[in-house]
Amino acid sequence: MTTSQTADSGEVLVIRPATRWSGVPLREIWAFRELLLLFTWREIKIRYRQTALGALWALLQPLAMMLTFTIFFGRMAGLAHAVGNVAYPIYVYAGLLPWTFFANAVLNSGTSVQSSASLITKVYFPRLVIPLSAVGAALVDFAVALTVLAALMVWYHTALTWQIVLVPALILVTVVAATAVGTIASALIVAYRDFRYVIPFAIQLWMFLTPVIYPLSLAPPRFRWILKLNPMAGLIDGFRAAFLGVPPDWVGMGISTVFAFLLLWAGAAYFRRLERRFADII
Amino acid sequence: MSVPAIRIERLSKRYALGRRLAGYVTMREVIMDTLTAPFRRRHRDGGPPRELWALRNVTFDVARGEVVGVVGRNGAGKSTLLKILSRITEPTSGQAAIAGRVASLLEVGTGFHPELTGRENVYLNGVILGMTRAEIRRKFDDIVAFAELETFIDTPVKRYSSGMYLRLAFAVAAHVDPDILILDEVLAVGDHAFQQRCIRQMESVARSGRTVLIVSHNLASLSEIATTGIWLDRGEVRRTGPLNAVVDAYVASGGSATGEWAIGEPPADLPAYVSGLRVLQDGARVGLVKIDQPFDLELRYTLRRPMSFCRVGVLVLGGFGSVIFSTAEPDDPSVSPFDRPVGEYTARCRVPGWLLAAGTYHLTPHIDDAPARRLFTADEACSFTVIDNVARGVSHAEQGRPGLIAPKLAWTLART
Repeated sequence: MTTSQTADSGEVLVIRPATRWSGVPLREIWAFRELLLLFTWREIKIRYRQTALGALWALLQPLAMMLTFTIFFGRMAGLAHAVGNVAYPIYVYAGLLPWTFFANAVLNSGTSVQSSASLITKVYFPRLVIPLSAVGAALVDFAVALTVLAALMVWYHTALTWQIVLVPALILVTVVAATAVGTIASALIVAYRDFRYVIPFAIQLWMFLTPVIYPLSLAPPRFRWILKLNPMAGLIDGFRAAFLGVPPDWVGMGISTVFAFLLLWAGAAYFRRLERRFADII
Repeated sequence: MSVPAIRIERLSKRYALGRRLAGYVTMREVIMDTLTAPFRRRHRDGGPPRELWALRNVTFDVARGEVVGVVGRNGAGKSTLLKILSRITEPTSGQAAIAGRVASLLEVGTGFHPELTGRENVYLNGVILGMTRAEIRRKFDDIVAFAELETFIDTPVKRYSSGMYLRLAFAVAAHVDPDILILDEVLAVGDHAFQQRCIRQMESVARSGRTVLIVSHNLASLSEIATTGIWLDRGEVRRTGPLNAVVDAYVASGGSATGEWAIGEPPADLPAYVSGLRVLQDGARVGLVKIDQPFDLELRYTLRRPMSFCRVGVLVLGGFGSVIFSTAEPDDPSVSPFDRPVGEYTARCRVPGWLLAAGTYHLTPHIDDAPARRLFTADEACSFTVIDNVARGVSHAEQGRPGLIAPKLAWTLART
């Protein structure tokens, strides 16, 4: 009679103080995939339900930035001639598109954990689900904004090259980079409130250190290698190469990819180390 | 022997007490701390850092199918225990082993968003509580029926009344189907009728052979659900055993509802003040009042000067601060409020049995020195709990009395 009673016990969950560093809990996140999907869906739904223009905002933001940069930097600062034989608006948009995704993903996931305080103190789930769902929501906006790029490419008669097949891989690496920086930012904001103000500022600076509106060739040669360490530099270059058919910088993309994955590993480890104290300090 | 559903071994949780209660720090503090760290020890002369053990070497087993009530004062570690078992926070040492699927409800409506519709929130909340979407889809109609919100299920919950909101939130929680259920004060929501319904739902959960660990300040509702009790006192297990014995010992120690209050320091500038308050049943001070017998409220007060008008009374408040009733000396025509000499007084008022419903009540004594003018008051000075000692142990699902009061009334029956 004893065996039959213990047989149905299934697995035993043991709760004890964590002793070692833990990496990305992929298996657990997979187990909570429905929650991840629902959180992403909730974020998109709430955002679009509260605004009159709804999903149009995902189009308007990069479009407005493209127009601004085209007028101020392309015309007035004369950058339009520095980008080669590509129309400056489409050149800028192809760079702004991944950058806007990256910046929004980092900003949203940065504040996401802090604003989920009521969840974190009441219910268990892998905490990484929160910043991940913020990145997921930004990815949906990215997909919407991508349609504008397609329209622009038709308008400017941009020829498709085989390099377009690089896009899925580039998106993946951009998601990795955004997740990495976003998780670090979200943990930092919980631990030190100051980062709530630091991060938007840092992202703005970061944009100017990234060849979003100017080509990397414009930077002085002896600084170029530093700029290439920036994972977003190689990625944005890569996106341009994929969409506009300019020759890709394989080394730059390679550096960015390696860096993005290293960052994700470090970011997840840092997040996991802090997450054990989230409920106590949030 | 079968494996216990929950086995807790030497579980401890330490909180470092910082300069402030909020746990987060700002960069400035980190920088200043780092800079001043080498100099600080001198001032503290090496004293140990200030810390608080919210739990200390807590060890107990919960057998499968057992319904355990955890009692203890505020800060005894009850919530910390539930938070560790729910994996919200991590223990400092020791461990807990849980065999089976756990659901923990530390509040109702976790993750509800006002902009989303009732339907959307049911899915969101359900997944947060550990259900799969397929499971929610299957139970959806039951959940909506339990909440009685069929017509409003596609309305954003921001348009709900607070009662509708709570009904929906509880309905989701009530349909989580775990092996082990961890509950915190969830019962203390909504109006009385809704609480009764929740309690009945919890009872049916408890009877269905599930393991339940529940924390509540409401000893009356706890006694209707739980069979075993654990009394936590300053982070340590003080006593375990049958719930009634544990609750009685806890109440006798002066638990949360003590039925007693004494003024710490008499107010220097007042001509009169209440110095003490007791709840008495069968001549003894009690924190737990039996529903079927009368009990006394006893006020002791001091007049430092003769008063031309003096009326002493008490407000009896329910769980949400609403006044259930109030009474004062002149209710009895033999007690005159006029011309009272200096001295110490003891006033007693008899409250009949079968008046207050089961639940916890607070007492606010007061002295008026003119009609409707408060001279002295002590807000919610003490509490007591009315328990349904008659229904307990019987089939109370049928016998429990929903309602704010519990009068036994005269009935006649005639065949017409």
